[in-house]
Amino acid sequence: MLTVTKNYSMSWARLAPRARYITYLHSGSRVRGIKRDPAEYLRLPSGLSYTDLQPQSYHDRVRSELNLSSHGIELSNEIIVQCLTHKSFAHGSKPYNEKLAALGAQFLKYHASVHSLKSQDADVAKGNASVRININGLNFTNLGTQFSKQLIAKQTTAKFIKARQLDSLVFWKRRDPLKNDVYNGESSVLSSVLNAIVGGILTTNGPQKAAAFIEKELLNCEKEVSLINIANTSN
Amino acid sequence: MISFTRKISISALRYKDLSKIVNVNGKITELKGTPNLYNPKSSASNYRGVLRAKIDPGTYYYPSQSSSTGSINSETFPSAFLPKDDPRKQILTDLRANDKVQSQLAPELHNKGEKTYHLEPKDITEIIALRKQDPEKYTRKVLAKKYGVSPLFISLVSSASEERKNEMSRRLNEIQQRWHAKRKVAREDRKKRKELWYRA
Amino acid sequence: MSQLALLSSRVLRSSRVAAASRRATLTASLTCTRGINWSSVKSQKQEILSTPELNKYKEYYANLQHVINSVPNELAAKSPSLVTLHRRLQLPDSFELSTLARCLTCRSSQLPVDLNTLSVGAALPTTTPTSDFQDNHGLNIFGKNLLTYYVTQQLLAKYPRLPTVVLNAAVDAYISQNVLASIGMSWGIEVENSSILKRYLKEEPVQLTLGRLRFFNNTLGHEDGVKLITSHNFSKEAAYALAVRSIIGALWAYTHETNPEFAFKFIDDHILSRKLDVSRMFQFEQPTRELAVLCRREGLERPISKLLAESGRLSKAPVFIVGVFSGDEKLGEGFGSSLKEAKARAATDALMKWYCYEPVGGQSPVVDHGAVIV
Repeated sequence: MLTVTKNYSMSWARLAPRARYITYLHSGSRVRGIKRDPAEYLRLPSGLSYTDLQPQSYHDRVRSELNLSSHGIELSNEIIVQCLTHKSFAHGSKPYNEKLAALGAQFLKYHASVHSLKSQDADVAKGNASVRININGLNFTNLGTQFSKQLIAKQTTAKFIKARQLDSLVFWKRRDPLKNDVYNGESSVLSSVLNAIVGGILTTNGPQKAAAFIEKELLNCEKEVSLINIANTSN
Repeated sequence: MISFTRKISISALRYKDLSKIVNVNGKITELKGTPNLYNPKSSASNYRGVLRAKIDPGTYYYPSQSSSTGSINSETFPSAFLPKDDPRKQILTDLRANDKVQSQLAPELHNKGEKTYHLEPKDITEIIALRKQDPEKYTRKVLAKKYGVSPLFISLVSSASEERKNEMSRRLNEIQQRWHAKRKVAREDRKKRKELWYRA
Repeated sequence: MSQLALLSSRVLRSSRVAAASRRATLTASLTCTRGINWSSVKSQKQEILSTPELNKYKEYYANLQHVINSVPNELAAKSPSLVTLHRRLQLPDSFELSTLARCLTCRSSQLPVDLNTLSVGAALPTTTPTSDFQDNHGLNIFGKNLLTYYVTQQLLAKYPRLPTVVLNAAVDAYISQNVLASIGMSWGIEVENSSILKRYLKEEPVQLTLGRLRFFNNTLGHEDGVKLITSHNFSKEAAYALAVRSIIGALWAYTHETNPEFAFKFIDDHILSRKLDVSRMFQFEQPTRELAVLCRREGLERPISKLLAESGRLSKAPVFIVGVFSGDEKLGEGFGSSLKEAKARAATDALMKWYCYEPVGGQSPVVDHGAVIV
């Protein structure tokens, strides 16, 4: 009986002029308030489109650059894309990496401090062996030094992403494409990408695998592109 | 506390055949209202009725009598908000059979219909021009009706001129100056109360 | 005895006069004459007097500094408050008492010079300056990193869809400085309030101070009621928070090889066991718009508010109950004394049920798509 109300509203719509139902999607220069064509705002200036990402050119490339398979880490395609999407892209309508980056940043900070604690390098550790007082073999005076802060700083992590050729795959929107990277905050966007990758691994694969990834991939001085080497060269 | 729980788990272990306690045929029995040995309406306040109420042992779904507003307990989640692999999805879908009836019978509050995106940039420039030209004649409401959109959309695409804004705020100020002290206090209270709406 | 009294009064007087003269320089009404008088008096007495009591005090002071800088375990075991703290927290036996004493030693070397001098900031100090290798600075940093990581992870595991702002507020509610300070106080850590001089005069054994929280606090307030406002880094709350974080950091250091979960269980028991109601941390603006965007993003039908029940529409206190529906599914329900209010509450209720979703044990990890941006 009361489905009549529903039908009533539908029929009113049918009586309205047909022109109402032609949707205009705008592309090109900005017109305030109008609905934009997804094909335009889901595409990076470089041409990479969010909607058709090929596994071999995108997801598998990310996996190979980070050597995920060698650490036994599995990240689904959706998570990889989410980690590489910043909040500024498409006005936050696509899954973005803010929370994963927050979690990953803290995890990375924790593990970097563990790494600093265990290191006996002269440039990291302060004072000589006779003065230092270890707690169970860990030297807590290494923390708070300039180097340990530099290790996970925004600049270092951003350079890491650039060095691994992942910066072209990041989905974000520049505040002003004509101005330079510092104005647009590129380093914080790229830094959030690395943190998000760590956070994504932590959430989906667990803390042990994430710790192993950090230890062997990011804080491994034997790797050519690692946070330690980047922090050392920037000093 | 520890010994109490241990007793419970031991007694559960003793029951080899749990089907006597657990409802295996899949349907969840729902308790409506507090079970009472006596007349639940007239003897609602009689604790003995509740104490001695006779119900078969087992698990029941005993939903809260109050509205689920502001509650974040898992039984109040809508099943549309659960991820696909949540094991509670099926249970919640079963429990919400009443929702469909409510949805079909309840009258809608403000239904503006589906959104339409039929305006083009040239229409929008017209809107901006008209509003700038004569804001008194071409108000948001008038423009909205003319172009078949909502007044909110007119605000999104165009702004009133500074002059118009100042004039409107001057008028509002004038009205507010003439308020009685009590009215002023009442209006401020209203604002504070409104803030609480959005705090769940 | 009288000699002691004489010494104490002399020492006190010298420090008081120095304090008074310095305080005089602080206030605008300085008369240079006072300073000049004092120095002229001083220059008359060039002969060095023998100061046996002062030397004994210096010896006590040096001994105290040595003990704090290198806590011998046997001496630490004689400190009752330290041992009881160790037992009360049920710390493992591998956690040495000397480290626990180190956790209660706050860094003082970075105190600004004008606060660190006898006459201005610390009238009569309660603790000695320590070397950078025997204070809780590094332990504090590590404990902070460990705490924020673990608490954030647990919160995200419990409420994966919390907006970042609310998540940060929730983490603060668990481990901000004041909260940790209250936890530290509940652990029974006491501040070292008596000055070194007083302790020397009481002939207090040196190890008793090891079990108390030592930081360069504003003792000026105790003497003459004048309180020097220091920045929050040197306050009591800050010191307590430093101690709590250091204890957690040190606990991790001692147990991470043998029992990696021990430190995390400690944090669970002491910090995450505290009650937090996330539903009270939200404040929405235009929830109806946000809900509409959310439904569009998640591919649900557009939300429509429907009036479920009402009473007393034309009376002074009407009640309306409105539900927000997406198709046939009710997303949220709200009440109000006007239709507008009920609709607003319904939308906020729906958004709360989205954001405060708690996954159940056996599910695969839920990764949120981010807070809704309108």
